[in-house]
Amino acid sequence: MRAFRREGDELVAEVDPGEREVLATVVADVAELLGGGRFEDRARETGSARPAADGGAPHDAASLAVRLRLDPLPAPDDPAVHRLLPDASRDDAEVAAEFRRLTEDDLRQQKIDRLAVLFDALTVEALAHDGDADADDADADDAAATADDAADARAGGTDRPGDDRRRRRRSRGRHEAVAVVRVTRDRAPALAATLTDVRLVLGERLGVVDEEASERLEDEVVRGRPEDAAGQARQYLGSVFLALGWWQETLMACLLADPPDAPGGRD
Amino acid sequence: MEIAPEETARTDGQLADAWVTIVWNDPVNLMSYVAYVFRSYFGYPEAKAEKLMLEVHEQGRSAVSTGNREQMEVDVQAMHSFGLWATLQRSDA
Repeated sequence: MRAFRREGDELVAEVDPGEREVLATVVADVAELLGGGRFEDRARETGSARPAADGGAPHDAASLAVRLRLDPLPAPDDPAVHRLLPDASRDDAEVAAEFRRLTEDDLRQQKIDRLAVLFDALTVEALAHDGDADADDADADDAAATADDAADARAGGTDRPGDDRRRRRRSRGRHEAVAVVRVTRDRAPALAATLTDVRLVLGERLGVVDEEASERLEDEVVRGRPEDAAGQARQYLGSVFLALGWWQETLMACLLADPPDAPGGRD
Repeated sequence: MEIAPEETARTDGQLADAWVTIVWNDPVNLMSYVAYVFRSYFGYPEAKAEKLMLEVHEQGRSAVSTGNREQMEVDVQAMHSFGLWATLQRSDA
C-alpha cells in the first residue's frame, strides 16, 4: 500500500495484490454488517458492487419502506454497527429514537453505497489498470519501494511495518501487477469517510477504546510474536487497521494541501 | 434600522429553542480528518476548525454548531455520515 498522491484532478495510490484482496474483503465485511449483502456476489453477477443506476423493483420497494418508516427503530445490537450508527443523544431517549427513525435508513444506505464504490475501486476498477502496471517492469517496483520509504519516513518511520512488505514485493517478480486505486478529487472526502467507517469497525473489534489501547495495539502489531491462532488473527487485523490509518492520513495530506471550498462559511 | 416584527419573533423563537451539536472524542478518528470535516462541512476557517478539533481531542467533546433542533439533526446526521460521533442537546442542557 503506497501513499496517495495527486495526479491532475485525481488522487492515486498503488496497492499490492495481497493487500488489495485483504482490503476488498474487509470492505465487503463492513458492508455485510450494515446489511448490504455480500459485495462479491453482486460484483460477480453484475460486474459491480454498486446497484444498477435505474434501481429496479426491490430497490424501489426498499425506498418506499424507508419513506414510510413510522415505527421506532431499535439501536443496533452489534457494537461496531452501533458505532457507525450511534445514538444522537446520550441522555434523551426520545431525541435518540426520533433521530434514528428519521435518519438511520439513509445513513446505512449511504455508508453501504460508499463502501461499494471503494470495493469496486479495489476490484473491478483496480484490475482494469493492471495493463498499465504490467507495462512497467521491476524498475517501477523499485521506484515504488523508494516512494514507500519516503512515505514511511514522513509517517514517522519505525512504526510502519513496511520492511516485510517491501521484501515481499521485490521477491514476487513482475507477473503480479500492482493495482491502482484512483479517485477524483471531489469523491475523495467520501473515500476518507469510508476508510473511517472501516477503521471504526476494526477499532471496535480490536478493543481500541482509548488512546492507550490504540498505542498498545500499535506496539503489539510491530513487536508482538503471537503463537496462537487468535493472537495471530488479532495481529493481522491490527496491521490492517494501522495500515488503513496511515493510508487515510496520506489521503488527508492530499486534501489538506488543497483546502476545501467553504460552502456556507459559518462562523 | 427598523426591525420587522416577524424578524424579532423569529429571533425570539430561535433563542427559546436553541440546540447544539456536540462532537465526542474517539481514539480511531484522525485529527487531520476531524479538522477537515469541520472545515469542509461547516465551512469554518482553518483556525476555528483546528481549535474545535483540539477541544474534541483534549477535552473529550466540543460544541461545533448551534441552531434549532431540525438544523442540529441535519448537522448530527452529517457528522455520523463522516464517522464522527455527534449528539444534539438543548444549549442550556
